[in-house]
Amino acid sequence: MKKIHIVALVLIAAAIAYMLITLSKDLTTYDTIASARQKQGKFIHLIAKLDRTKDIEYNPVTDPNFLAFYAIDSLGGQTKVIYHNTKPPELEMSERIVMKGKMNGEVFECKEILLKCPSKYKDDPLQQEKALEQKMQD
Amino acid sequence: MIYQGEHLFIGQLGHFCVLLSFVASIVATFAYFKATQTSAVLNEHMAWKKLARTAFIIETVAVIALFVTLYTIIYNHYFEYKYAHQHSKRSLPTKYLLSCLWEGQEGSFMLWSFWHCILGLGIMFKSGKWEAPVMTIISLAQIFLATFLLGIYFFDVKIGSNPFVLMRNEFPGAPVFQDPLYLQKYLRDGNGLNVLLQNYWMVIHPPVLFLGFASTIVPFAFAVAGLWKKDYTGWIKAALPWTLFSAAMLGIGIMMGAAWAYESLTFGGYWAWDPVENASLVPWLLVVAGLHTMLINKSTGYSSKSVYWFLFFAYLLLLYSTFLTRTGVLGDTSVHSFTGEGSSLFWHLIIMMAVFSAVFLTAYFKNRRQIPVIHKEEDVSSREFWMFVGALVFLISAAYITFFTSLPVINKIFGTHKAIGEDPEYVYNRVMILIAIVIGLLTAITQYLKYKKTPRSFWTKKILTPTIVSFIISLLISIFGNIDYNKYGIGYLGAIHLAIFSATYAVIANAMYIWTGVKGKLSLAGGSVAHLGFGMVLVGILISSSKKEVISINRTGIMIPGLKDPKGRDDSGLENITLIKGVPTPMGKYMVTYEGDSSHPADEKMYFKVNYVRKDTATGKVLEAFDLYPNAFLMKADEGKTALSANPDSRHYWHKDVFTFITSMPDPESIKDTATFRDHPVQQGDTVFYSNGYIIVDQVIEANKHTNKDLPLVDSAWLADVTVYSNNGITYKAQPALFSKDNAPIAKRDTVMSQNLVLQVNKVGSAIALGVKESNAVMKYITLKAFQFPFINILWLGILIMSAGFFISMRHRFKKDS
Repeated sequence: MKKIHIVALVLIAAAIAYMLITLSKDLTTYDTIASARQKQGKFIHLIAKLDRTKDIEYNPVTDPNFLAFYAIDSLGGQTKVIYHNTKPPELEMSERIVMKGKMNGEVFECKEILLKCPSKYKDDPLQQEKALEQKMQD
Repeated sequence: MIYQGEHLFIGQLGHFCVLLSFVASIVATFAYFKATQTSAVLNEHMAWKKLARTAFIIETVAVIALFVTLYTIIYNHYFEYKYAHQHSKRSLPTKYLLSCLWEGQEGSFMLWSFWHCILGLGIMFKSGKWEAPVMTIISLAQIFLATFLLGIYFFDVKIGSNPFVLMRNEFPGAPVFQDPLYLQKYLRDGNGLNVLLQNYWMVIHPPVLFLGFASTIVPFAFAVAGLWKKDYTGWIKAALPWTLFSAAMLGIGIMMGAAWAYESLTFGGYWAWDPVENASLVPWLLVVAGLHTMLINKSTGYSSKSVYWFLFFAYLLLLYSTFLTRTGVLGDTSVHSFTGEGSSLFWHLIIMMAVFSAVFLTAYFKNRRQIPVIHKEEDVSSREFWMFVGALVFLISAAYITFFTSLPVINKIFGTHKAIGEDPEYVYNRVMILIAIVIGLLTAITQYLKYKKTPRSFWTKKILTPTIVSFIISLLISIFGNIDYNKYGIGYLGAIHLAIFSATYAVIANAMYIWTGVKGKLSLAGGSVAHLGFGMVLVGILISSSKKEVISINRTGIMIPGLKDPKGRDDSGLENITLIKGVPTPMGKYMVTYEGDSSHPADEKMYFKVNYVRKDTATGKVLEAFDLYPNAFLMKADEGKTALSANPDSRHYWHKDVFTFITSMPDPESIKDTATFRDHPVQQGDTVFYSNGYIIVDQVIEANKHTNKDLPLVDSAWLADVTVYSNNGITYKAQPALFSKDNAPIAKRDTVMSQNLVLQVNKVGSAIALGVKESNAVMKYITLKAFQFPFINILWLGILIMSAGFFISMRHRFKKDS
């Protein structure tokens, strides 16, 4: 066996070992609100929708780093969400929200929000069809 | 029904060009294939080659015509075409109309195809006997790219998507198309361009990146050609300049994307390990690794087999990156919102990857035993040994990045629900820092090694000076640079310092090698220049990221000294600060003031003027003062709400950037003054309460022109000097007044912005009253985030130097060829 092969094997083995050791720590799961409640304090990804029947609490004048709202998911789960950052401008328009954070009691402490908005899906034929009908009414 | 005002001819012309380029690419592929197979029979070979060249040139013309037609449609606002309707609108400045071309998927495939054509023409004239086999592979890729634009149905499967479709054919059911005047009545304007793309980087970044993307096929095609023609090493010399070109363009393209992210995407940085960024970085890593194995093979004959694999992986992962970013498979993990054509593109790209893999694997395994292999081991003191180790390290880093970027694909295959956890950047950074240490060291020392074997005394003599110099410099950086990034503990901080040494070493050693190794002959020093630039990139990344500082750290919402955080949160993430118009607010070392905003009817953006002042704390002397103009798009959205899309502004210094962007502002729709004044009859010394404190009337002054000669303009005046005592202990002075002229009252109101207070004086009989209004509309405020990036210019400069190095080498290699 050549030295270069030994170097290659050692490097690859180290990389794989490193990944295996850290993988469980690095990876998390997508959860529903109900399953998130079972994983208190564990960092997870939550896919939900904005609960439009409830108010969004955000007042940048008193605190630009405090946003609270309610989220619901397709399985009927509901939770309060707190996000220590500014309100994403498209929150009210979002169709789906991917939130990364931890469940803390009844409240989801969110560290990062990704919004899926209809405007981002302007390539989606269904949305376009809707937009065309909208044009007719205008 | 006959529709009015449509421009159908240009679309038909465009569609014809699509079909023409498709047919021409098939002819070119077949003819080049035959030309390769008949290379022994000169007549036949020349005939096939002539046909192939003609077909390829026709194809090039068709692709250019495609661009022209599509641009004409966008430029003239023919909104009957879906592409124009979806990606442009009338109010868009002309300079961004080009960006509309590449916003859509079809446009980016066109761009890719266009660069294949240009590169193909270059190969035709430069590559001699390699032309036919190399161009077979490129033309094969062109067939695929053309099918992405076909938009035809093959049984029930839609193949590709045609950029020239009409709105009314795409949405035949929509009621607007019942009207022959739909174009004049309803489709007068398009949807416009994503505001994030309305940035000058977006005009230039996609063409450059796609040139880099397209050029990766050239080394791959040469590798396959080498196997095909059974000339297992000869192709390398011809392919080297193209590989250097590819590495340079891909590198520049990626960094332009990073510059765009830095300037407009408000991620707070130039790199976020976003899947889309990773997808373009991985092919670059592999092209550079492949380049090094090519050099090894050319100089020593080693790595004769691995070079094929590196170039194959580079191209395969390039296709895979398109698959990741274009099919929507990344879904929830990326901020980039490509949604893609769904399942048809999904399988289309998988087939493309499968075909190219099959071509390579067949060629490789048929020839595997004939590829010459040197059985003697590489000497540990040889340059090729350490170059190969470097290439392996790049391969491993590429594999690591690919694994984490591919999690959504893995989830799809295995039905799992895994995602990267709490700190995605750290998942990458903590491995990449180790890679940086190793690569930096290798970059520094390997140039000083000779191929085959290096005499020990020679090497130690040459490497000694650069080692000592870099050790001293990096020690100075470590000691005086205040690099104390301790978020991840001492181990990671140590790794940062080690990496800084390693990167400095790469810079110094390569800079010195230009003099000691190649005696200052720049035309020969391409490698050293590129490595020097790469070292600078590492230094720039390390310093700017580990010393990135959030200036707008905020613990209590509005800055209220001494008040504790009522919600008891941890410190992280509180990176936004609210500035009330006209109220200077301390932020880090600066005192910042939101001074005003402006907009222009022809520009959808709103510009905010934010003034920064830094004073010497002891003497009060102004050390630094500047204005920044971050801007924001206000987009009309559903239910009368507006959404915000911000563009940052930065103050550039040679050694740092102060970077500011708006994160929130009041919705202008909501600023409707609904509050009313409440009158409180007052005398001097009275107290009036409001929701957040109280107001004391210090003095009431009554004057008229008979008693006071200083009142020439009005007949009489009532002034109130008041002090506002807010609950948080801050006091404000205000002086509302009421004037009267010709029996008409003129109120001079005074406002206390930060308390939402409007004060006025009213006359009630013979006494006066203080009118108090608490209104949200008074308050004009913005919320912003500010960062400081030190030494980011080293990064940008490093990229330029590295690319310059690639180009110097490329020129040198081309020259040597001819």
